[in-house]
Amino acid sequence: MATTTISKGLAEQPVEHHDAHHGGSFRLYWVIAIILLLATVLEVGLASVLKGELECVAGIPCPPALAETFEQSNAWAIATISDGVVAGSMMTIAIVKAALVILYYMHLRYEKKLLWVIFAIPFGLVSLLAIAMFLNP
Amino acid sequence: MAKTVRTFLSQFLGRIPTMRLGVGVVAALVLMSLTISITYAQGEVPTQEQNMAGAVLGIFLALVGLGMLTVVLIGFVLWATQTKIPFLPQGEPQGIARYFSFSTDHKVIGIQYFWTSFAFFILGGIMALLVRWELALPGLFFTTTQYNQFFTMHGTIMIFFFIIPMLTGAFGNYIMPLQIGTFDMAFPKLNTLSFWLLVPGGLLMLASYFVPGGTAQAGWTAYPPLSILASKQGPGQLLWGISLFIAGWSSIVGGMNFLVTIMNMRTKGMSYFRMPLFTWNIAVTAVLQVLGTASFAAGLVLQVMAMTFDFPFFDPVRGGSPLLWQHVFWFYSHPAVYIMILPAFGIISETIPVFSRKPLFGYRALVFATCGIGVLSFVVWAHHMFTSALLPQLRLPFMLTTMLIAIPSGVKIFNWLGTMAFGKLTLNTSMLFSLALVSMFVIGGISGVMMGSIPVDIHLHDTYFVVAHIHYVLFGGSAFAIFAGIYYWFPKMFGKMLDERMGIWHFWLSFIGFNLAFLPMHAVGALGMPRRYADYAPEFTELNFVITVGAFLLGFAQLILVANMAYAFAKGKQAVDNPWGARTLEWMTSSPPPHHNFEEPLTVEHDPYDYEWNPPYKPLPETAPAVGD
Amino acid sequence: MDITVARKFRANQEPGTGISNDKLGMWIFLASEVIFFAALISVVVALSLNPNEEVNLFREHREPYARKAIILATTNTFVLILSSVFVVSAIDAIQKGNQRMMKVWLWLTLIGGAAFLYNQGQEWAELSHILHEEFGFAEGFAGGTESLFAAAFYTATGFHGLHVAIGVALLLYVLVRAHRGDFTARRYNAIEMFGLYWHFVDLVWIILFTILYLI
Repeated sequence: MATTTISKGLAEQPVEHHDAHHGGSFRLYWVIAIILLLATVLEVGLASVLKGELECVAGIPCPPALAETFEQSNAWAIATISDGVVAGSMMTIAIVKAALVILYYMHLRYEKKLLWVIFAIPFGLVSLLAIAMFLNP
Repeated sequence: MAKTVRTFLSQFLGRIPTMRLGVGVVAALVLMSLTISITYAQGEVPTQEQNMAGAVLGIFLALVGLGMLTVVLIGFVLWATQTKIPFLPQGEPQGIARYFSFSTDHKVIGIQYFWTSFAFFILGGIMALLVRWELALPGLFFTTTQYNQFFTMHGTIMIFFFIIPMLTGAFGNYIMPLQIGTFDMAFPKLNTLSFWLLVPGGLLMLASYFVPGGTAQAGWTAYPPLSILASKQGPGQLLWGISLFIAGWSSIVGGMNFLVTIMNMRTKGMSYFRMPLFTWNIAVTAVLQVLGTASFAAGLVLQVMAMTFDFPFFDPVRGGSPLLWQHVFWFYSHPAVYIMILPAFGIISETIPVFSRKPLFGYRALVFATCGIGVLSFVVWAHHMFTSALLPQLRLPFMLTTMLIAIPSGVKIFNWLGTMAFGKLTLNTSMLFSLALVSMFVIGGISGVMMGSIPVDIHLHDTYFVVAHIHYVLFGGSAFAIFAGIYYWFPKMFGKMLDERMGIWHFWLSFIGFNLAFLPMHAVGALGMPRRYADYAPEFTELNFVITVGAFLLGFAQLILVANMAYAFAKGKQAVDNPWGARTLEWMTSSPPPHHNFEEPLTVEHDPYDYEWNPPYKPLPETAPAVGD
Repeated sequence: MDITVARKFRANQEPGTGISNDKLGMWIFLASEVIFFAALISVVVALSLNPNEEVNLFREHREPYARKAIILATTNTFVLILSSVFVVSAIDAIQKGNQRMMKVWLWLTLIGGAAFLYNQGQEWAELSHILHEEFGFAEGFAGGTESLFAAAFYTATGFHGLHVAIGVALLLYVLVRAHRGDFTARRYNAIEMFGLYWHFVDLVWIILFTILYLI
């Protein structure tokens, strides 16, 4: 692993060389940004339909044409789909978004495995805490 | 115009020699007295708004100090505009002044931690003696509120401002970089920040003595709703929470620094399995600090919000749950007790081989035991909650993990015994304290395993049995190791030898006082005496009196150590590089080491405990016939 | 610290992790931040799962607020995601030696951060107002006394907002250095470290947004 020492400011320590292919490209980052934005819209839209707490889509009231359909699907969803499934699907989308940010924006995909371990351990630990707290009688 | 302003500001900055002399502390002290006077002026029992205002003002002034904030802001502007600051040509502070400055040298910082922790040790000890004074005889000498404040401050100060900073901040900071052969920590400026975060944390804790209503009084565990109620007596409980929040960040930053230093800056030849055990223990401790403390921070945030704004997180009537605090608190505080014991184990893993002149028995087993303790420490926390309204089905798994974690500690005990077996023992003060740890920790460990069993814990929880257990492991364990470390590393850190005869007196008086104080607690606890009560049933009188006598003996014995250190500074013998003939790297340089620790970078070719040792028994012949052949 | 001495010692070290001190340190720090936020969020979720119907007014208090504020919150999510991709674009720009675009992207990030904080303030005002209207609670933080949802909301978003504010302060430092020409195609460590912190803050918001508004 080629390292150089540099003499200015923070960088008084070995620095990894960044090759041109080290990591994603400009296009990739923006594609991921679009995916993230769309996923957010999906999340909010799904929540609107499945839970009935929000207006049609993201708080915007439905145009009259769609209002009927929305109310029916809303009623159906609240009746048939359990809270757990709703929560599960929301969290899954959120986790996918988070994973994209971690892997590509924080560059973890291209980093050494040690950093994966360092970042993953707290999640494992805290899930134990979370489970113990959720089982609170 | 801008230029004149900039010139004036740069000269203002340049003329403050106090920039080098810790202006923050002075400013904070002055301004904290101001805050306290303002709080007093508000009258006996402040209202909620006054509490909040006082606390906010207190944090702001304590942490920042008007002077520091001005300096930082001006400094930022000048740096951004690239104006030169003409510092007076005084250079780095020399001598004692270094220890009051923002030094980035890990050795200076280690010594800053050392004296700060030691001062808090004395204060925490005084709190303990006040507790024991109350409990010497039945009936009340102090008020119950005062009693609650004594034991709360005793626990809090000893844990967060003595044991953890002394073991990690003082010994860890000073010794670990030397042991891995490097010239400083990975982030020297963060190291400075780490110490200087402890200072306002400590000051806030001290300030709580002077506010109306007095200090915190809900125990070091601060369970709501008791703590929320206590916060209505005065700002003391709130100051407690904020103080620990700040001290916690000191711990996290320190832990992060240790890990990066150990992972990236070991000298050539110092592979992971050539690191001394002290460094290994500090490494695992650092992991616990980084991961665990943040949970405590989250809990403190919730408590502080509940105290200042009356948020209902812990109020069942409004939808909250006190049990949630217990989970979040113990999720940190259990690893915290391992933060307190692992470096202690590290210290005696250093002294025992040296003073047995024998290689450490089972180096790898000790390393894996340390890592095992680290991992397991995160999955035992609810054993502090067996009698809380924990889901019953959750209790059994925690009992199992609690039993499990005793095993690696047991491995360590056997390895230390194995190290000493057939060795040539030097029973100096450091070794005596190390031996005391081995035996006292076994007692403390066994009482812990007993309480790990749910049926037993149901009877023993919140009795003096618990107090006995914690003091056997924390005083008999951590504090004895700290003493062992002081007698071992004092020559290296301060360049003077401590007097052996005074040390032996210190040891025996401490050992006898310690056992006199804490052994009977097992009995009174098992007989039903509750902890944290200012009074007790008359049948416990004789034993409590004995305990108090022991405690006072233990307390006054520490004065011998203080006298010993004072004498060493005044008239002590100059220390050589390696007074004990040890083999770890910190002894391969002068006492104290030069600014960059070593004259030349070292390359390690030997194990840390490779003493010449000839076994006194004949090894078995290679080709012994198998039985039944 | 004398640089020649440091170099001398660094030339004589074990290989280590192969990861620079700064990066390793930052990831370890982020690990502790994960625990902090995860613990805080777990408590909030645990509170919302209280089976005692009479006292668990979490969802009841949230509904009118979520209805009104979901657009604002979603916009905030967009803002933070975009600011994250702005930082990455800044790093991409400097990797290609483009000083000008790097500065542009960094300034856009700053605008994003400031916009987020402003919107967050709006959300707080909205919550305070709605609780006052619908349930007659006091305005401001005092509403949190009655409403567990409000208390949890203010605390969680408050500490997240504090982290965003700290990020903005760090960004100011990075911007000053950027304008000074401190960064080159081979040396842009500070931006990368800032980026890691900023993406983490974005990450927390993604989870927090889902939990506070949608579940």
